[in-house]
Amino acid sequence: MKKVRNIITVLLAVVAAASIPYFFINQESIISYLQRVFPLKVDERYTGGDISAEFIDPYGDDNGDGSLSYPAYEQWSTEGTLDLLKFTIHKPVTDGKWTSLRVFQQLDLCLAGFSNPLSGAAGFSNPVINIYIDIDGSAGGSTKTAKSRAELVSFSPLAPWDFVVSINGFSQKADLSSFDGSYHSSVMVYSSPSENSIYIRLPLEKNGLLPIMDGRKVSYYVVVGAYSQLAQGNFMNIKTRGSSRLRPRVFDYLSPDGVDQHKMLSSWNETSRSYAELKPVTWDPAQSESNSIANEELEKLKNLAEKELQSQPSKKLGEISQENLKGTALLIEYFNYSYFKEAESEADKILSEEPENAIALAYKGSITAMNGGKASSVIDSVNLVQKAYEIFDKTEEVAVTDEEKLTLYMNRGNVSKSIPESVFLKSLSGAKDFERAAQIFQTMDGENSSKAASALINAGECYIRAGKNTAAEVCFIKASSISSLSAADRYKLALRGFIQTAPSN
Amino acid sequence: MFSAFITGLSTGLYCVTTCLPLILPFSLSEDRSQAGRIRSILLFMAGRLVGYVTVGIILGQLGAFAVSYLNPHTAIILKRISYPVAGIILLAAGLLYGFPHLKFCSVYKKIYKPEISAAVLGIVTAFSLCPPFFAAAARAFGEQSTISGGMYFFIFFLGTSVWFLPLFGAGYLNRVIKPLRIISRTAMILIGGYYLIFMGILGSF
Amino acid sequence: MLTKNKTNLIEYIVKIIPMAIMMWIIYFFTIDPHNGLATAASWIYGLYLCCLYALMLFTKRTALYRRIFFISFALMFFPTFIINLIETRGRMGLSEADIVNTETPFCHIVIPITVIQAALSKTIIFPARLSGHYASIYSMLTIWLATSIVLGRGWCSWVCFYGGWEEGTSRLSKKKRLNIDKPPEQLRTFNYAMLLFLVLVSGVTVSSIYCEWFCPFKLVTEYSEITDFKSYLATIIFICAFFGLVVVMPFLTKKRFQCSIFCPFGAFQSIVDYISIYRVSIDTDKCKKCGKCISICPTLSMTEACYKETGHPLRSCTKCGECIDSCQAGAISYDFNHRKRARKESSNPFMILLSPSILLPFSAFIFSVIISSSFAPSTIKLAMMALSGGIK
Repeated sequence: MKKVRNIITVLLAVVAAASIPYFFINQESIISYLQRVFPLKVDERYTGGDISAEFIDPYGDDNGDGSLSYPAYEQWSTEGTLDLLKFTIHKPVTDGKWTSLRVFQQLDLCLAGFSNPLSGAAGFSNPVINIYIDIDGSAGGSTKTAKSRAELVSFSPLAPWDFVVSINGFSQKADLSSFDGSYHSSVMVYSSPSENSIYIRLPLEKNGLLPIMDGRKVSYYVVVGAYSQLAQGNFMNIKTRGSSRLRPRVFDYLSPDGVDQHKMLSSWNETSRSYAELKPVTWDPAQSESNSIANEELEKLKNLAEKELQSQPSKKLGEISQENLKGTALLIEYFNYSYFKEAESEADKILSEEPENAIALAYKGSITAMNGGKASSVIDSVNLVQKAYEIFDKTEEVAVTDEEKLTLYMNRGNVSKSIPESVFLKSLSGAKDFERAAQIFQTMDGENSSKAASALINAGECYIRAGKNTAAEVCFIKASSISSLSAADRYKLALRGFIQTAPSN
Repeated sequence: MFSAFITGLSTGLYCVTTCLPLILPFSLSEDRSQAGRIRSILLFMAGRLVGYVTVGIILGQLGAFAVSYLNPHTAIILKRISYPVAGIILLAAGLLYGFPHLKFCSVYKKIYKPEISAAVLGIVTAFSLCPPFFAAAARAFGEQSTISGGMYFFIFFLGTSVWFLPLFGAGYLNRVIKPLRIISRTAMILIGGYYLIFMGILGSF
Repeated sequence: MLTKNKTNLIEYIVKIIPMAIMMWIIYFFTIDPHNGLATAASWIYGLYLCCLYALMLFTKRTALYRRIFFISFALMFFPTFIINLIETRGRMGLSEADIVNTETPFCHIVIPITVIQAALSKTIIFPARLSGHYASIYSMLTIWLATSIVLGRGWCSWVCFYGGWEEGTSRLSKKKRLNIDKPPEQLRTFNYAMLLFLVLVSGVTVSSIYCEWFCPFKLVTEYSEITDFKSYLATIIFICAFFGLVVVMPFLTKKRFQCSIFCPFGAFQSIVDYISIYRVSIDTDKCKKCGKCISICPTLSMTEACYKETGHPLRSCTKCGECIDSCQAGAISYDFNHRKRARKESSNPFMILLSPSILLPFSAFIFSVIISSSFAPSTIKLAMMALSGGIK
């Protein structure tokens, strides 16, 4: 008996020793399994509290009343820096951790683009954002802007604002003040360039904001303008020929459901000399906003996606060789119909004649990585994948045209997305590749916009693998703003809650 | 009224983790018999009961007058005050039991009575305003009557107390593992010090 | 019957098997085939590890070479760690924005403090990434679990990237200036009290207060930015804790003072140690009761009762092997857990491969290799760059 026990102990020790390297190699799959069976989350007292409501604003509406465009200076070259995508309201936190505020409510602003060309202290420099808050419905408050002649808008008399937070990137502290000027203080501004997000935390103690905690309805006006140090209220005045003096200096505005931003921002009246009147979005803590989609709609989308998959053509090897294709075109055809062996020999053939052919190189990289996936030993597969990235690096040096770059980005992105993250840590660069590919697709015309959407969805999925959830959301919102989506992409977005309905026809 | 019991029962685990650091080192480190230990735990529970019922009655009374809400800010301040009070008691108890040879402790010894201290701790714990407490407070307030406010908190107390039952066995544990007593004494001093200095004094900044 | 010399020779030949496996593991996890300088650095580190393991294996002086590895690991860990922080967020300091973005690296010392809360409410009371990062919550939890099963408290002598600091400072002086070989129980159990205190209070305040106020290693990892009086005070505590607990006290006592008296993770690992595979055993018959092991043990884990009655050091033993090396009677050895008495080593040279004295250093060193390989080579690269004309 004792002997048996000893043998078992020794056996156990040997097995344990042998499995340590395998544990580290497979750590990612163990983690993803654990994440499924035992999902954890970081306590919300650190991160700003549970999310209570999310308001999504369309992508690409950063042109105010439809006629505004970004200044032509170089520091405005990043797209979407004034385009608000999402406004998130957190539940109030009463015991914040590792922060100077203990009772606060966090608000998140997610923008489509993020850059800091002028080295703003808060991590961004283009937008100026005012959040007007109404906590008591139609009672008390102001319908004028905080600084006169700044945004050139007025607010609904049904919800006159009581407090305003003025955020710009040049100070780590935003101003919080009440409408009658009786209260002034500063609010910390945090930003996360990798997540395209700005966070502010409203102190709820020692000011009139405390009533937010009792669960009442609160209304918000979020206006985004172009920052200019000299302008009134820092809202830059973009002059164009013939435009009215009453045109709002607001590039993007968080419009409530069913309200058209362009219409609302162009509702100024020349004769009565009144500014455009804005309507607020309303947060009702009692009904937390849900982005979930109805089951039947989801089922419909799923069927459409399956139908699309079935209708995809397949070709026999013989058919391709009959098509009289040559060079890269033949290579692409082989690759697209999954004849990888033929594709590889075709790529080798092209490369022996033309060693700097970017398209052949890009496909060669993909095929090398795939061979790595099939390799019998772990060492071989790691080496092959690393070799694939060396090929991609070479491709990057020789790729010049849009088509070549696109081929590289899509190939490298797909490889980055499919290899284990813990070994190679490539998800982030994969996401970047897909984003660049989407940009190129968008500059092309016609049906390529649906390809841009699926590249964006791939980018989002890569971001999720890299643990960057907000960056992923930005990609998904951008993708869902594209009108011509494929059924499969529509279904993917619906599963993540970015699309609520199936197309009607 | 059943909802009060369920509120207490379902959120009592949170309450236990709130009260445990107060009651666990206390019950383990006292140099007394099993009976004495059970008595001190009972006194602690009684303190909690008194605290809860008082809160219930006061809130019910207040609720009868005011239909508006309990100012959350005041509640936060109350919570902050309850920490240094608990800290002082823990420190005093820990120093007294842990290092009885220290001279200044003999001053405490004259004033200090374990029974009273346990009861006071119980009352203080009752006032450590945790989320389930808020839930119960809001409900008691909603009752808007002195008697039903008190009743509500009494039943809330019963619900949370279910989770305290295993504590009565803590004394046995004590005898099995000797060092645990030393450890819990040291821990009591550390917790007391933390409550007093880091949450009490620094917490008011 | 084989002569002694012949047995020794066969033993040497047999030991080539673990050596070869270890070399393969070092090659696989350490060597970076990507580009010039990094590859050179990784080869240097790989060879260094190979040499250490060979010496450990063939000279039987496990503790000495483990100590050399351990100190060098701690020294090589922090430059790369800090540079990594600066690369990802631009500075070493931890700002509130990083906390909001949950970009704090998750450290193993927080595990005992967060694990109960995580089991009860599935929330982690620490602002770190969940996954997708080398210091993410899931990554650290799985490494901790795997290490605990194999090594138990052995973590503290083979894997911990902080322990080398004290290992180093406790060896700086030859003379023991402050003798705490036989400490009062309050001192010996202080880290358990720390653990109880931290777990309970962290549960109540829903915050890992250890990192907020008491961590002695902030100075060599990251610190919170000083923004107000509280963070100013915290920084003073961090500095005092580092120099007091990690530098001065180990220097005076020649013990790993912080590890054995303060560290809550050490206490937690002592409890977890019951499930581990190995422990240290003392042959009470062979023992000459000289008490040398008590004075040499860096973690206060030896008492007279250990070699007179129980035949095992206390559960706080970190399996560093110092007592095994120093015992002249050869009474102390690595053993499997839950075996009543020390067993005689088998005389069969092939069976020696299956003995705990080979298996434990082998398994433990695999962890050491893999975990140190993510940091040490880039520090060597950095040093090479500095030598060859300054860091860009």
